[in-house]
Amino acid sequence: MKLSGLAVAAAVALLAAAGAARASAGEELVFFTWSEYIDPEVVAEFESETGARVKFVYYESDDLRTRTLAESDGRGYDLMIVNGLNLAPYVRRGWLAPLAFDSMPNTAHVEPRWRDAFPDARTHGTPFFWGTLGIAYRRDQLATPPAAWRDLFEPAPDLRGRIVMMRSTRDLLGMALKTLGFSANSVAADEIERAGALLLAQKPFVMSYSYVALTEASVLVTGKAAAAIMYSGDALMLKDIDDRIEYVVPREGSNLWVDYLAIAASSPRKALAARFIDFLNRPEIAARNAEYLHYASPNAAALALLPEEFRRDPIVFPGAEVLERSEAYRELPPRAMKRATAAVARVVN
Amino acid sequence: MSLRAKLVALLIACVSAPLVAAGWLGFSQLRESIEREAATGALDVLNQVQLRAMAHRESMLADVRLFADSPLVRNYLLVEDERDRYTLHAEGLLALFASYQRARPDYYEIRLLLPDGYEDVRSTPRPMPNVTDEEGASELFRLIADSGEESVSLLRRNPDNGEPALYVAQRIELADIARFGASAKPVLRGYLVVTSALDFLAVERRRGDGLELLYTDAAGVSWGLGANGVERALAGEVGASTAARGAREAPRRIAVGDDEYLLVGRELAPDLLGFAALPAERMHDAAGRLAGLVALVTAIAIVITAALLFRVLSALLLDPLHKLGRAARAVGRGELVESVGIARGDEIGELARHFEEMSGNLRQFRERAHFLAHHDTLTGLPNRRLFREQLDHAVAHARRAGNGVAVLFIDLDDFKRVNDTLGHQAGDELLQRTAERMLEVVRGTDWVGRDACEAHDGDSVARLGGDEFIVLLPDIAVPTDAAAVAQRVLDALSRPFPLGGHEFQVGASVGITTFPGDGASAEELVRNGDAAMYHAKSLGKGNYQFYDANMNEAARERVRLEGALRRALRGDELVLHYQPQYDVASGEIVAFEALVRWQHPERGLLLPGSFIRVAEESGLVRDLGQWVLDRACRQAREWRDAGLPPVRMCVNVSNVQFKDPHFGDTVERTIAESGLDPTSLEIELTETSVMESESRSKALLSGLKRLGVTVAMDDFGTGHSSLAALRRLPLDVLKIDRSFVRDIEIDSDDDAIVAAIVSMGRTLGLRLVAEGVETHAQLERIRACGCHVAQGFLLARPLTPQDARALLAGRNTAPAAQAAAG
Repeated sequence: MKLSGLAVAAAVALLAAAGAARASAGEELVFFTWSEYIDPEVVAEFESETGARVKFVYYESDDLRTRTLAESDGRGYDLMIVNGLNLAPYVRRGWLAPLAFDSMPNTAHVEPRWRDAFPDARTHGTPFFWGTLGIAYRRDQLATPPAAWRDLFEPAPDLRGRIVMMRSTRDLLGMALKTLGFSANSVAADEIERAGALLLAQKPFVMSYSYVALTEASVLVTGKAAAAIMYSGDALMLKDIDDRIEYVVPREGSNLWVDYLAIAASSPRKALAARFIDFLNRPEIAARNAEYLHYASPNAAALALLPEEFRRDPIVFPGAEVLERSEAYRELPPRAMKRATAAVARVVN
Repeated sequence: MSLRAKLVALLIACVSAPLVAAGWLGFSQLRESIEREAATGALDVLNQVQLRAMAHRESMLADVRLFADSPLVRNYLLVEDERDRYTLHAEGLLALFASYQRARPDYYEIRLLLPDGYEDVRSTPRPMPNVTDEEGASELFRLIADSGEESVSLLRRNPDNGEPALYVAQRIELADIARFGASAKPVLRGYLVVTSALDFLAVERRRGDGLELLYTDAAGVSWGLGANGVERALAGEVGASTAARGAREAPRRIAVGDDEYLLVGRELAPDLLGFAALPAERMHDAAGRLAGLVALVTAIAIVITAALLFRVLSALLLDPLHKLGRAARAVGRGELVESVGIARGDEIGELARHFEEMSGNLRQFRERAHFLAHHDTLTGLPNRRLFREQLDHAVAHARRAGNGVAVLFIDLDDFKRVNDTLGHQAGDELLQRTAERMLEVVRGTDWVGRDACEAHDGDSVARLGGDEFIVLLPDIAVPTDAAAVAQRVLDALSRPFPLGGHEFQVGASVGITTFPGDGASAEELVRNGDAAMYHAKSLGKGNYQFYDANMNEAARERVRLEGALRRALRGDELVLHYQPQYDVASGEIVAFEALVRWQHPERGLLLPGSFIRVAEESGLVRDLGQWVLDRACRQAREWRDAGLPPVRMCVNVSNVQFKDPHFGDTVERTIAESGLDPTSLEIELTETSVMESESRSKALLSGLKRLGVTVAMDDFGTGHSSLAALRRLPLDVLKIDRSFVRDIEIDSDDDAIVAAIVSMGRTLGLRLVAEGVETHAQLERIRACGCHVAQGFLLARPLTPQDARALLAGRNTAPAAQAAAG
């Protein structure tokens, strides 16, 4: 999926409105999610099992998802993938419906620790996958493989214009803060200011502020880009396409993220949405999906079904030392968030 | 310093002063106009800036209204929880504002203020310090919050970056319909504020025409846009100046350091004054160029005017002065001028006339002095000195031209006796009378009707002193010519002189020397002449003697011959013989040529060759010619009366006769007297006579032809007449000279010449007569050439009148005629 930014948001909003209308008659489930974030066969299986159709609307960053939802006030979607951090504000804005876990028996397979990882996760979300944020790079195009965020934020001169960064306020600012030795959740104005300056200084090296596509057309595959900030599983998916692509969790540590399945408060098909969530939490389905996506499943029963090799992959399942250095994002105080948003906006806009 | 130089200096001074003054006045006016135009131009620029400022503010107000209407802005302001605003909405709003700012880079700050003045969103493309986000107390916020206006604008220095900025704020009131339904009342949610840089003003500053634009607030404090050294320097002056004066638009001059500026100002917007400062140097440049132009024009005008005036004055004064000066110098050198070349009625013209008079008098005096130096005062004749000059000249000329010179030395025989008996006065009178008579003789003034050749132009008489006279004949053909003159002098002086009531017989002795025979130089001629004169005196006075004794005999012979010819003309010694001319084709006699013969009582029958020269020299040739014409006409008439066949009578006319202006009349009279049919008369003229004066000949020949007389050109080919001349003359007959005919058979050149003459003559319609035909071969050739008539010994010798008559009566009986016809 190569669409980006506001154009995506606008197109998605229109499609979603139309899709929602049809869903009431033709059992169509509108799913607002990342692209390449589900095994198509799993979807096909659900559709054949239920007779319903799943319609996908994609976003390419958490910020763009939020912007889209803010513009429609959370309307237009039945089901969505929401990162743990955004669960609480979405709930405050009334965009998410509380989940009826009784109607989703397979959610019981989820490890309890993921259910408590973020505020409101227990009531409004079902963990989908978890992972890290790191650097994907072409080992054949870098003189030395990157080992630290500094290698990405203060790159070698030959990387000018050859780095792809996400358009994501917390990720950009968080990893910049970590580069500078601060917490990704820092609220100190001067630290945020310095992180913003680091991002501005990096800007000449950035080809674009977008998410790298996970197909053969990807700039990392073509070699147009040499490095990108990327989620762990996506990097592994790209490595399947071109094994010159490597992924590393920088030594400053990473962001430990969890994505949740959530049902829109405005959805008229909450039951169908709940049925899909339940289907996805079937151990066999969750295992197939995890293996397909190279992501760590929070589904304990599914993990048991996965091969040993997969379970031992350090990228999918980072070791304790990585987890120790990594942080999960927490909601910032309003003024700090205001500052962070303004700082990143100056960089990406 | 010459008058010319003084005049030039005066003219330049007189012309320069007014022209320079006019140039300076013009220049001053133009310079003022340059300043006025510069000020007007500067105000125009300020007007444009003002228009741009107004347009900028208007577009800003419209833009801010549009931005405030954005759904994102409205959604944002309706979110009451600031956490949610910052976490969920701010990112999208900043992206929107950023997109606005990409379109309008001068909107470097777009903000949302909450009703309490808190700065909730601030979009700046570049990191920019923010003095405070609590804007509740700011002037702008108070203005929009307190005024209740929808929107306000304000020009202020931005405390964040210290730059002047135009602020526009828009009040945003929203009703939360989503939460409170359609009846919800609009509530003030905040303000959208856009901060704009005044870049367009800074851009206006840079114009390249040297104009410095400066912007201040109402107090005259510079906004510091695009500050540079000049502007900073200006700012202080403008500030002070503005504070001091209310009016701003009137141009004024201010000094900034060493530089001077022309300054105009204008209020562009509230709190925005615009000033345009034009460096005086710029205007000076323009004025300088102008001054150069004016100076050039003035200089050209001065030069042209001065030159014209100078020319006029030159023509009036200097040129005449120069002419007079030149004339005076010429007189000084001895060249007497008749005219100075100034013909004017003014004082200068008068001066010139006086000068000419003076010059004329001088000339007369000099001529008189010259005359006195060269002439004898008593007789007015050239004196010895002039005579020597004339003689030297004549000898030199004769040496070149090859002619002869004769000098006659004349001494009165009995002058001493007159002086002694009648006194000096009578002696002087005698000398004067002598001079007169000699002049008459030498110049021929009393020889009316005598041939002009008797007295040459150069012949002169001089008095050497006492009773000695000289006659100089600078151009004589033969020495004996001098004898005739000497004889005439003797004759003239031998007549008695009436002196003091008595008649005195004086007489003279003449000595003759001739050049080149008697001396190679003038000196020798004089010496020998003197000797010859004394020789004459010793021989008994009253005679002339050549220095060369042989000459005396020849001279005497000629004098005798002349006397004899004169008698012959009076008596019956001259006769005419007639030589017939035959038609080559028919062999018939067509004419007779009359030829004169002298039946000399002692020497027998003389041909003209032996006496024609004497006749010519003595002037008898005219009488001789007339006699021949008269005789020939009578003879022809007699033959006609006798019933003989008609033939033409050809008569030779000499050059002397032909030159006589009355020749035509004489011929006519002679014909009339003889009663001859004019068509029977043919006048033969020599080529030389005819060609001497073509126009005269033409008139004369035409007159003869009108009479019916035939005109022939004799001896053709010996002169140099051209074909063209022949064509112009009304001739009838061409007689080919005997010299061509003689050699016609042996000389191919002559043959060709005769053939050419005949051919040419026939073309001109002339009858061709061949003279001197003596052989049959010659006759054959001329016949072959196409010649019409032949004459010569072969055919017939000149015949006595009786023989001629007999021949004519017998017609073709002469054996020679057979030859001609054959």
